[in-house]
Amino acid sequence: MLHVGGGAKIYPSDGCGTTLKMDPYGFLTILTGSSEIGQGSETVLAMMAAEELGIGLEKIKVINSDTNIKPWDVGVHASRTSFVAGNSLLGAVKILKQKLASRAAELLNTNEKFLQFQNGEIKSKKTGDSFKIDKVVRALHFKPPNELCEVSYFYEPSSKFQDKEYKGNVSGCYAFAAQAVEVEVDTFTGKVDVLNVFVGQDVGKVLNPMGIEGQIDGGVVMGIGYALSEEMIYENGYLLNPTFHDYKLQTARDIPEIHFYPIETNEESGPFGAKGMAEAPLVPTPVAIANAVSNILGVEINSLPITPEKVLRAIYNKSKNETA
Amino acid sequence: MDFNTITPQSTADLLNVIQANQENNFRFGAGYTDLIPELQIQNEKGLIVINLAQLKDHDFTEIKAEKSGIRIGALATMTDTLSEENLRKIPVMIEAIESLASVQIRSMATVGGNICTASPAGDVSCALVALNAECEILNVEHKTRTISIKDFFTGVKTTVLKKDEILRSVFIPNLECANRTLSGFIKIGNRNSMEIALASLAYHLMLDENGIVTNAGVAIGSVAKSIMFTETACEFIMGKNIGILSEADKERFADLVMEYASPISDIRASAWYRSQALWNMCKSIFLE
Repeated sequence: MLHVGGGAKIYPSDGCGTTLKMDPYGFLTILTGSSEIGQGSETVLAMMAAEELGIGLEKIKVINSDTNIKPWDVGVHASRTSFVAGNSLLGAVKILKQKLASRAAELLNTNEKFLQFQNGEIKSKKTGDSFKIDKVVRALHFKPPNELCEVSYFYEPSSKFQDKEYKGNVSGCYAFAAQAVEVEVDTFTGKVDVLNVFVGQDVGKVLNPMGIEGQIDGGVVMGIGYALSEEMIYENGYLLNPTFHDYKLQTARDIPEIHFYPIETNEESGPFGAKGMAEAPLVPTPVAIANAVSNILGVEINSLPITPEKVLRAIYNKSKNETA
Repeated sequence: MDFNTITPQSTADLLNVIQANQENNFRFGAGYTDLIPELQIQNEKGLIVINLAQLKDHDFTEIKAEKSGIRIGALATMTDTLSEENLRKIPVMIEAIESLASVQIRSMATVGGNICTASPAGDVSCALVALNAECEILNVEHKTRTISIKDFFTGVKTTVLKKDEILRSVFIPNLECANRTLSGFIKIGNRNSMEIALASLAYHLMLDENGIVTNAGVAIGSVAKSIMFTETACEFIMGKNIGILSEADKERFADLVMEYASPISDIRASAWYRSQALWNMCKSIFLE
């Protein structure tokens, strides 16, 4: 399975803006164009900034919802946030570090190239002398050049619109995945239960192991719903199941063991080698489930969802054909 | 959704409230797991809800082991019922409760509510029909009458309850005399919880030491206008040894059960599926 792993060009821009502010106490505010809808982007963006600036997560605040103040972004889709917003953030951090390093070099009487950011300090590798990062901010702000420690950056991925044949380099990078499933079919009722799902997926570098596992689990659960129960049923243009009463999402009791095997690669265009990975886990799931069911029954079911009725009908038709 | 509530604290209050509202449009509210969703869809003007949630009367709320069986107060919740030691010996009841909605809903939903909602898909009601339970009904005169749950339902969401009556308890007759039982509840749905049965089968067969059926109760849900007790199928299986049941006997049993089914097609499943799956389920119970 191949899926986009860094946005998809569906709008004239697939980019994301970031504004960073560091205050005189060394606290960093990230104003990102990206939105947090539960996927964990706040955490992963803060982790990236903490890593680059050598400051603790407790010193970082992420603001990402208010469109009155946040920079531009195209939206949460196409497995793009860690990749696009992450690259945007790293671009902004690079400018911020240059600004801080330039002032710190003066204070430490050294060359910028010898400076490193760690443990909340900017330190000269040559002399071992250091200044706390907040002190450098104060030196920029309260003394000449009297500048705020605020920077902005906009990142636009290399992706292109699809051509008329729906071909082209539509994403900043691509994710690859394979899944194997174990299912049980009740031949009396036609009910399919998924027992185990094994996920092997190229995720670039893992940035947040717990976050990535949550995204994989969530994707697989959506994939199982796609395979077994979720369907919008229309008649003469009217949706017959408009509420979650009749549109059946999977519940906790339907969810199997999900075994995740991250395949770590280094995505050169991604932040710290990472790539978008959250949609990919739901794409192979229904296919694997359908294949497993047909493996058991010896007949293929070629429409989703694979309801008990479709399975029982397939069993019935098969036995009728065999006796005929 | 707009309604007024009255909350009687005692049975005397309750009966007065029912009496005083005979001319009004009222509904009883206990666990509210069905009533609120229903009222959200169908707004009834001038509705009064007689709220039973604070009624302090053990006859309505407790589960009691009596000499000849177990009595479950109509206001006992599914969770209360599930934790009742005596009921753990009746798999059809336990499996029916565990298949109902979710843990959260079971902690609010009442046994009486499940019966009085009179859904053809009622899970616990279906088990109680198979168990040949008796409904104890109280009227505003403080008089009680008892009716078999098999005769309680008159159609989709309708029952024999009169406007001046209320269900007080349901009684499961003593079933412990059996040497062993073949008992269970099979519910088919597209998922494993928060589901309305596409078809369901409740069965409770009591067997002697040789495996001969000494008492049989089989009920079906979601395949007719109300939950059906399958009398002739039960009569057929009585006296038979389930250990050496022939294929023809199993099929005859399933065919007899099916005589009580008149399923419909809707967006959840077709009539064909409901019939076919139910027939298969009837045969599957003898695999145990």
